[in-house]
Amino acid sequence: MFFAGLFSLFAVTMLVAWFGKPRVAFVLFALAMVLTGALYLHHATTILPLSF
Amino acid sequence: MTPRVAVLLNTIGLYAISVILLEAFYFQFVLQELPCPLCLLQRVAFTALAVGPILTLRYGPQPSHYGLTIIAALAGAGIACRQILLHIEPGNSGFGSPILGLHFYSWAFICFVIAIAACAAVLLFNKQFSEQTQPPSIGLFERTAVWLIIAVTLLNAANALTECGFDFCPPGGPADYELLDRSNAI
Repeated sequence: MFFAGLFSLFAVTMLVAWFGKPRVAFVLFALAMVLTGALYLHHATTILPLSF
Repeated sequence: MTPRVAVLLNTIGLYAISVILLEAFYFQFVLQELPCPLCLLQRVAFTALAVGPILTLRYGPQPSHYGLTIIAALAGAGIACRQILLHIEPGNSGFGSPILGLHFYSWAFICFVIAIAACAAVLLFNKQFSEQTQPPSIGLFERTAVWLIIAVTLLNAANALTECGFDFCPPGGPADYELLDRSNAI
């Protein structure tokens, strides 16, 4: 559901970029990127067996 | 570089993103390889890449539009890099089938780096920003590119809902389509 919501949010952002105001598209893009980061942090939990 | 050329390049970029996402569907449905959560996040990052070019097609080239694309590409490259590191150990066969010797996430990393390099290259040409006085004229070629990427993004939304159901995707990726399993069980 969360991935579906994220894809839908980006689709809405594209529609706003095409039909609406660019400023609103920028805000929606920022929101979607923050949610992408949150979903990444939820899923990227495996500790990498690597040292740098 | 004139605004017209910049719009053409952005349109080609939109088609390229659609082709990448449709190719991911090919692997999913023809080769029966369900995407893992990190794979889905890379698809999300590919759709994020499209917002900047759509703004350029609608309002003409602006540096901020390329900025959006670079931010999306950096996020996508980071996610792909994480998955490369997960499978980098010797003896690890990786996730999914390789394409021309590289796995999808390795190709995704390369594509995101190319997107960053392409934006940097296009940003070198200032004429595209100073010459425009009105929004660019848009034809069928450009409109098709925009509606194609929106349709592919909505298809990905429907696919993610079918695959993960109404919850988080399981860590290693689902073994089957969660929503179809649920309807079969009823």
